[in-house]
Amino acid sequence: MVVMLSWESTKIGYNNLFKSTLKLAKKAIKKAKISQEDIGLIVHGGVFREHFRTEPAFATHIHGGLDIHCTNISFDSQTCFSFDVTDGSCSPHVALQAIADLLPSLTNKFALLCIGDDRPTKHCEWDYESYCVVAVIGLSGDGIKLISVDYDNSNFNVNFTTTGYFDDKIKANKFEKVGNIEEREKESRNNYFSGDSEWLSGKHMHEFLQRIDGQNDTLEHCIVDRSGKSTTAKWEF
Amino acid sequence: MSKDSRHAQMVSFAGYLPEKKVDTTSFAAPSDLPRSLDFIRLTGILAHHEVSEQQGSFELAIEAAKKAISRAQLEPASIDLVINASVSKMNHELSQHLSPSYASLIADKLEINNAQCFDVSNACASMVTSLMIAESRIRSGQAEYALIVSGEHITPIIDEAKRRNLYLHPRAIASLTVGDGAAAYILGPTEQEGRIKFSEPFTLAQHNRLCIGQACKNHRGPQMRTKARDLQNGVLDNLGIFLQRSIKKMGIEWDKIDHTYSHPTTPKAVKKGAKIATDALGEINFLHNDSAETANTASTTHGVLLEISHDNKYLNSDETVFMVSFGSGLAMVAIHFNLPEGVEKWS
Repeated sequence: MVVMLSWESTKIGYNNLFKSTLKLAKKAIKKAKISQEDIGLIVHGGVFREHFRTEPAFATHIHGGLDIHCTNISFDSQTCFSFDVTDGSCSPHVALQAIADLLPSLTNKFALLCIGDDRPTKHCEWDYESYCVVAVIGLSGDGIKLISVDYDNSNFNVNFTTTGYFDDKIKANKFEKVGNIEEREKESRNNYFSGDSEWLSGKHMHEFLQRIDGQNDTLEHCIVDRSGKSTTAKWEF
Repeated sequence: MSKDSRHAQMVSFAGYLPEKKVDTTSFAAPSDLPRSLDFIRLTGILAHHEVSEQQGSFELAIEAAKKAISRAQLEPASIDLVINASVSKMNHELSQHLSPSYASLIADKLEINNAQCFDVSNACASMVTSLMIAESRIRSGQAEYALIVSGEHITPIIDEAKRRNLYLHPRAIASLTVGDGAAAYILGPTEQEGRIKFSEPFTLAQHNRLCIGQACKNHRGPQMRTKARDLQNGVLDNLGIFLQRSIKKMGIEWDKIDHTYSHPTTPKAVKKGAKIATDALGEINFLHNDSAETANTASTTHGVLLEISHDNKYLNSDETVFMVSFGSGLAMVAIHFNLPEGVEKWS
């Protein structure tokens, strides 16, 4: 599918996602030994956005913040395309797949994968460890190779949802989680890694990236969302 | 079907509008607006549709999806990819769905049990962005049939704008240009190449702060703030070259396009865009600028307009459609496809 050429991740505060993403993106681009102008696609994956923002895509803010091809279109101008994807904690794998889907048809053959969440408002209870992850993705090169992403809906429970709402008592926006699957804790063995089902997307990717040092052969990374659905990315080293 | 001979095609589409129709004069008469603005003359929007009391984005999406599946003559079980492109994801109580993907809930309701499901968010361009992803999945053999669906319950931003003093909040005026609606598309495999083509996708991120949608901070529901003129200029300044580059990249001939649809921010804006397109590429064979009574239904606009064209018996098998999509951010992307076989017989 695609190759992860470089990556950066860090723990962030309640709402530092934008600044952290820009900082990490610059580092990851440098590490991949490409220039910003080589980026043709930016895909962000996550669930929570500041003030429950619906538009534009968070990826467009990263795109603008990095100032990649932010010019009017001319007959020979280069292009970069940005959008968001989401599927609970499985968002990182969905974002990787979206990059693998679109990157081959674009002129610039490098993409930025950006993962993370912001606490939507100060009124939201936030017991998450929030991480920001940025990776440079290419079609080939030195890095870890994504072989496949599989999905499993067999344990999906449609009633286990997270919803943003306006709390009339305090006149502010919050979110509520409904239902809870049997908690699934971190599981790490030779060629398999799976995180806790209550982790956010950023933490899933951050912990996975901590796990890959010294890895050879293959590693399966499974993310189980709190709704019970899961995705498994198979990586080759 | 070998990988080299595997391509994607449009199998069906559907648009859906809720029954309730609201006249623009009932909420945007000159007496309601700063400087007695003649909103109808300015935009060309005469009316829009709104959900009933128990409807939200989900219920709208289900209506469109059911129609598209029925037209495709498919069993839900044969769909193995569901992408939701709704920006609003808003229920009748004005709560915003966050997780898991809305697509998962839609698939569950439709008894599509073994599909990968996720959401794509790219403002009004979410639908065409989703179609690009689905086309690639089908072409590469990773998916057989894809449902791309969106229900947009966005008219609460009209109510939010009406609560404001629009002299003090002029960026809320563009919120009066929206309507509720839904659209769905089914893509499937074919051995015939070129039945769906996409332009180079652009995000002109220098314009990424011209339209912001988010939860209203002190009231239930969403709000949108738009620098409408700047956003429109961002599109119009780039449209001519965008279209010329797109036509060349897609390898199509402008004068052979049977039906053209633009993202209808307003009917008046579409007319301005059409003039630019005509200057750049020549006369448009058939521009479907029919949003005067539907308004801007965000990601669902093209599907809603296709449905209107179908109702008017304008569409025939294998004719070609060119759709230009814009989304705040600022996304610009176009799709060209052949209409499904038998489209004229659909109910």
